[in-house]
Amino acid sequence: MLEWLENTSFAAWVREDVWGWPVALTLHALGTALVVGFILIIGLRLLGFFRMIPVTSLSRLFPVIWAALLLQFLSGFTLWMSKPARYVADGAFMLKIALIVVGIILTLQFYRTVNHEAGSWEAQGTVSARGVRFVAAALLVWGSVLIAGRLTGYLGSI
Amino acid sequence: MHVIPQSWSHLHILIGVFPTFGLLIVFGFYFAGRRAGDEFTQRICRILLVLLALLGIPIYVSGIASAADLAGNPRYSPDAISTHYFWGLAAIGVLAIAGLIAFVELWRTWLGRRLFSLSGPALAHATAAGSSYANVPENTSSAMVAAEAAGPSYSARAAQSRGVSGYRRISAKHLGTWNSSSLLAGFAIIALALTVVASELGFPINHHELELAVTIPDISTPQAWSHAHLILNHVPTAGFVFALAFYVTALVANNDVLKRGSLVLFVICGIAGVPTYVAGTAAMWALTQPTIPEISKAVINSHRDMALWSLFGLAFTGATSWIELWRARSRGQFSQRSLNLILLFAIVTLAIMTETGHRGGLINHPEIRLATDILPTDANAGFSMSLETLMKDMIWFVPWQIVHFFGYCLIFGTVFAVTLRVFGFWKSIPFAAMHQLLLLGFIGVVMNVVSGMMMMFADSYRYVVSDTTFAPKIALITIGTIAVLWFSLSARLWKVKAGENAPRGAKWAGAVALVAWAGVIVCGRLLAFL
Repeated sequence: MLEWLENTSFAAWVREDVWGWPVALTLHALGTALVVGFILIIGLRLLGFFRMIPVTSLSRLFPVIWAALLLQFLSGFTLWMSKPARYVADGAFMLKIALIVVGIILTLQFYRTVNHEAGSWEAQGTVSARGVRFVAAALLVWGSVLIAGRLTGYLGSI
Repeated sequence: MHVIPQSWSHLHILIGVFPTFGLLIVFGFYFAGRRAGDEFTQRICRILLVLLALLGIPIYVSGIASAADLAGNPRYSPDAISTHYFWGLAAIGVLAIAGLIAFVELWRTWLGRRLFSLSGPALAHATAAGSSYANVPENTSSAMVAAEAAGPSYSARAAQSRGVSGYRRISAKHLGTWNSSSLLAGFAIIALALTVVASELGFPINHHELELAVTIPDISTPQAWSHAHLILNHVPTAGFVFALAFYVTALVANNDVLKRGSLVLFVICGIAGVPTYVAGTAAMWALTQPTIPEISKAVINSHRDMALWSLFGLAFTGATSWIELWRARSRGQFSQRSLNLILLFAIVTLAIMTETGHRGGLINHPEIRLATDILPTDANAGFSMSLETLMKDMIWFVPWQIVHFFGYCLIFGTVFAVTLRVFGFWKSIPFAAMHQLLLLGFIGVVMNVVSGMMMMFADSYRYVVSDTTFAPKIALITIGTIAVLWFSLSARLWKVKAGENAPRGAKWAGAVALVAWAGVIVCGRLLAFL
């Protein structure tokens, strides 16, 4: 199946055209900034920084993360399908995929928690231990995805 | 090495650049003072203009004397010297006229009254009357907004002068719009243009390397980079001298407009350090590959080592200045302890930059060298060369690259969030909350300037010269940083409450910031490909 994917004309275009690979990679870089950047902003707010931002307004930021994740999936898939077998053989890449699956499930749960509990957090002035645990996990997982992704770029050469 | 000039040429190249950058900075402060309705700042600007005009005298004398010294030397063409002389004389002449007008204005509005007979309350009235004569704030309420933003100690003074200027506005109208201030501004602008032309025409006298046009693919570098570095290096250096002078004046006089202005100037000098350093790196390649007679890589490396320290000094001063501006916005006043710390950083940085500039001058000014100057000879010595070797190792490179990626997530995430608010997609929060968030973007910028610098060491020729997207990336970083600086300074934007629309200017700034930083990521990502 990987071979079939690698032989599609789209994969060949990404691999061989001057613009194919750089464009997909650039979009992937912009998406990274939004996912990690917004997770950081939300996380740091819940940890007690930037207190002027109401906790209840944070749910407004999640749609940007969803859109960026979609962009990451499309651009990432495009990059991967150009040489799928080589990526699958790379340890850092497989770790990254595993972390992404964990990260997405975690972020969905995180979103539900923020939606349900933000009102009471705002009223009490503090974030529940459950909320703080979500923040720590999300920061850790998405930070690791970024590092694993960066190492994937070197495809086993380190 | 001798930092104190011991020849006319040395003195001339040292002081010759000050009028251009001084005029630019005087314009900036004058505009800020006028906007805030602060007569003291405007008066300081007029005094500085007089001083710049007086500086024309030693510039002229040293110029004439160095022309005489260099007359017999075949390296320096008489034609280039006479062209520079002509434009330089014109610049000094117009600058003298501007200085004279500034002096007359000073005399009429302040100095004359101060020296003859006025004292006590009458003096205060005279000062306020002087302010309304030349500079009635067009919109008193906007002056008040700025005054409130500047802090409580300032508001009281502005309120006092407001009463008088309101009364005096009628008499100022009678004078018409054509007053001595517009005349002064006109002459100062012409002087600025002429000093730019004169400085530019000064380069061909000595900098013959700028005319070299060697184009060997993957080896040579356009000399436009050397030219750019020769111009850019004066922004953080000469700019810094004026910033420090204004800053000391501000601290002594306890004037908040001047404090704010000089802190902003420290930040701008810090930002300007980045393109200056990058252009310098490219210039290093332009001057050493292929080699040019008389120019030594060892001398360049000693300048480059010191330039790295300068960059750190500029970053420290600029960063602490920005943090103080940012904190003062929400606290309503500056903290004296932080201001003193910034003063300390600035003095150390200026000392480092003096040495850096001096070592830079030794690269290609044989006419200022003394027999006692010992120039370095080992092209592989120094801190920069060790860093280069270190960063070529992947084990060192990759961690810095990961830091760089986290940094850009911070910058772009912050800029995107601020833009969302400014364009009305996250209206439920006040802009003051976004202002708090700017700290995150600031941390990202600092992380990436440091990590980016480290990465550049690994393969600076490829990055700076071979990769076509590096120069636009650096230009966009400069633009994007200034846009973010604007967000942190705007008094009007700061007041935008939850649910309110941001002013139109903020939307433009938001668009500029978003496009610039997206462009930085795009250019950065494409570095490996184009």
